[in-house]
Amino acid sequence: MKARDVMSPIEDYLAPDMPICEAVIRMRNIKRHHGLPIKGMPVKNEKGKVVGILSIKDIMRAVIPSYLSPDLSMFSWEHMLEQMTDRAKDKVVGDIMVQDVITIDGDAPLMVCADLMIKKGLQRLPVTDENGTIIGMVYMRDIYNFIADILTKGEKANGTC
Amino acid sequence: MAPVESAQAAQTLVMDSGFYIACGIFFIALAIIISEKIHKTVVALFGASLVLVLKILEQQEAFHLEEFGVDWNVIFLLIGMMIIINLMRPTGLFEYIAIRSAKLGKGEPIRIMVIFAVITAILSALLDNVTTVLLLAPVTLLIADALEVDPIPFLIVEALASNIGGTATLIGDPPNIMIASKAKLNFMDFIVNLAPIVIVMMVVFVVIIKVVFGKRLKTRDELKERIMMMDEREAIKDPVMLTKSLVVLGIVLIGFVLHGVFHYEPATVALFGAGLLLLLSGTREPHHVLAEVEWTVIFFFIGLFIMVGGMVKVGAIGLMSQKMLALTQGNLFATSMVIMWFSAIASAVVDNIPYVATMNPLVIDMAREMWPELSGKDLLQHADLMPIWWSLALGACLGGNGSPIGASANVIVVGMAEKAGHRISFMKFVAYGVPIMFITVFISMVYVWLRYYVFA
Repeated sequence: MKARDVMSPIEDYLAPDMPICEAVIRMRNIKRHHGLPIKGMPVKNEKGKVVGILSIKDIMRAVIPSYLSPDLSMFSWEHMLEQMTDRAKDKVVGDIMVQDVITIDGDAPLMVCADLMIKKGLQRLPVTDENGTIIGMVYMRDIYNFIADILTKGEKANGTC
Repeated sequence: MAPVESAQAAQTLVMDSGFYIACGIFFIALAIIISEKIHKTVVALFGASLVLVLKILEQQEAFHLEEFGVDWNVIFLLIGMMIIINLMRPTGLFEYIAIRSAKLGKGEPIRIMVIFAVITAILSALLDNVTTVLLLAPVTLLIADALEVDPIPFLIVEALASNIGGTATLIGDPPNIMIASKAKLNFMDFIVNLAPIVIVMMVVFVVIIKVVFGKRLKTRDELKERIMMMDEREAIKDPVMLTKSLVVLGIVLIGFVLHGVFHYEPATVALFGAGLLLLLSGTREPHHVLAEVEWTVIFFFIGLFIMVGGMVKVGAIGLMSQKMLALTQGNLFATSMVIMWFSAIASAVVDNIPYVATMNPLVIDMAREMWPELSGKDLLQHADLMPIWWSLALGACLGGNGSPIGASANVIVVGMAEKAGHRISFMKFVAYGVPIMFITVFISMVYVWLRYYVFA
C-alpha cells in the first residue's frame, strides 16, 4: 500500500488573505466520509501555489497570547479566552497558517506516512505527484483505520479478539 | 644589506604587520557585529581563531596570561550565576513576585508600572538584566491585557529600569563584571561607589514615570478586580526547591559582600553557589541545567577577550591610551568625563561588551603611563584612577538605554513585545530611552565631579 492508495481528494483550498472566520466556515462546510467536518485545509495563493496549511490547532494557537505559558496561564481571568478570541478576529489565514508544509510522495509506503505523522505530530499529510503538485491528502484517521482493520481481523461476534 | 640589518627590518615588518592584522581583525569583526549580518558569537570566535592562527597571540598567552588572555573570572562568574538562575527559574518565584507586586499596586496601572520598575531594578542588580526582563516581561504582558492597557510603556520602562538597576552592583551588568575583574575591585566597592547614585537615579526615574504616564494610563475598576482575583501562591511550583534556592542565593549574596575580606574572587563565590544548588537540587540530569547556560554569550566573551588581547599585545591599545591622554592633556577629571560620555554614546550604538573589553586595557595602560613606578592594586586602584573606572562603568551601563540595541535587555523586551503583537519601533524606544540615558548620565557626571573631585 502506498500513500496514493489511502489518500482522499482535496475539495477546497483556503487563501492567505482570508479572514479567520471565513476559514472556519469553509472547514465547517466540508464533511469527511465519516460525516464530521474536516479539521485542516491547505492554503493556496493567487498563483495556485500551495503556501501553507491551516488546522484547528493553528486557530487555537492564534487565540492564545504568545507570552502565556503553563506557569502563567493559571493567572487568566474569567472570559479571557473570549477576549483573546475577539482580538484574533482581525488576523488572516496567512498570519497563522503553518508555512513549512511537510508533504509526501504519492508512491511513498504507508510506513513512511505513519512514521512522519507520529514523529512530526501531524494529523494530515498532503500527497504530491512526481511534479510536486498536490494531488490529495492522507489523514491520520485513515491510516489508523488501516491498522485497526489488521488488528481486529480475528474479531469474534461478542466483540472480543 | 647586511644580514643583521635585514633581520631587523624583517622583525619590524613582522611587528608592523602584526599591529595592522590585530586591529584589522578587531575592527572588521566589530563592523560585522554591528551590521548583524553574521551572529556576533560566530564573528567573535572566528576573529579569535584568526588571532591565534596568525600568531598575533600564542595559544599559551590567550589561555593563560592575565594581560592578553581570556578573563576566566568573568567567564565563570557568568556561568555560575546562569546555573543558579536556571535552577531557580522553574520554582515560580519570579511569577510570584510579579503577581504579588501587581496586587500591591491594587491593579492601578501607574502604581504597577512604578512597582515593576523598582522590582526590575532590584532584581537586575542581583541577577543579570536579561534574566530579569525575560522573567518579568511575560507577566507584564498578561497584566496589561488584564487591565486592557498598552503594554509597550510598561515594557520599555522595565528595560530602562533593568539597565539602571544593573549599574548598582558588581554582578548587575557585564561591564561591571569585566571592570571589577580587571581593576580587582570587590562587590562592596561597587555598592559603596555606584549603588547610592543608582538609588538617586531610580528616584528621579520614578518621578519621571509618574509625570509622563500618571494621567495617560487609565483602566476600569472591574478590570482591576481581575488582578486582585489572582492568587500569587499558585505560582509556586516547587516550595522545597524554592527554599533551597533562596538559601543558596542568600549564601551567594553574603559571599559577594564578604569576598573582598576573605580574598575570594567573585567567580569562586558564584561557582560555589552553582555547585551547591546543583547538589541540593538532587538532579540526576545536570545536562539540561548546563545546556541552558547562555553559551552564545559565554563564547562571545571568550572570542572578544582574545581579539582584544591581540590588540593589547601589538601595542594598539597602548597607542589609543596615549592619544586619549594627549587629548585631555593628562587632566584626569576631563579624562573621566570624556570616558563617561563617550562610553554612554558608544554603548548605545555598539554592544557595550566589546566596548568595555577594549576600554579596560586602555585605562590600565593609561595608568601605567601616569604612574610607571606602581604596579598591582596600587596601580589599578590608584585614588586618581578610581573615578575613571566608575565613569566607565556608569557610562557603559547607562548608555545601554540609548537605543533598542544598546543592551541585551532591550533586545529581549522588543523581541517579546513583537511576538505578542506589539511592535516597538526603533524610534519609539529611542523616544523613551535617550532622554533617560541623558538624564542618568548627567546625574552620574555631577556625582563623579562632586564625590571624587570637589569633596575628595
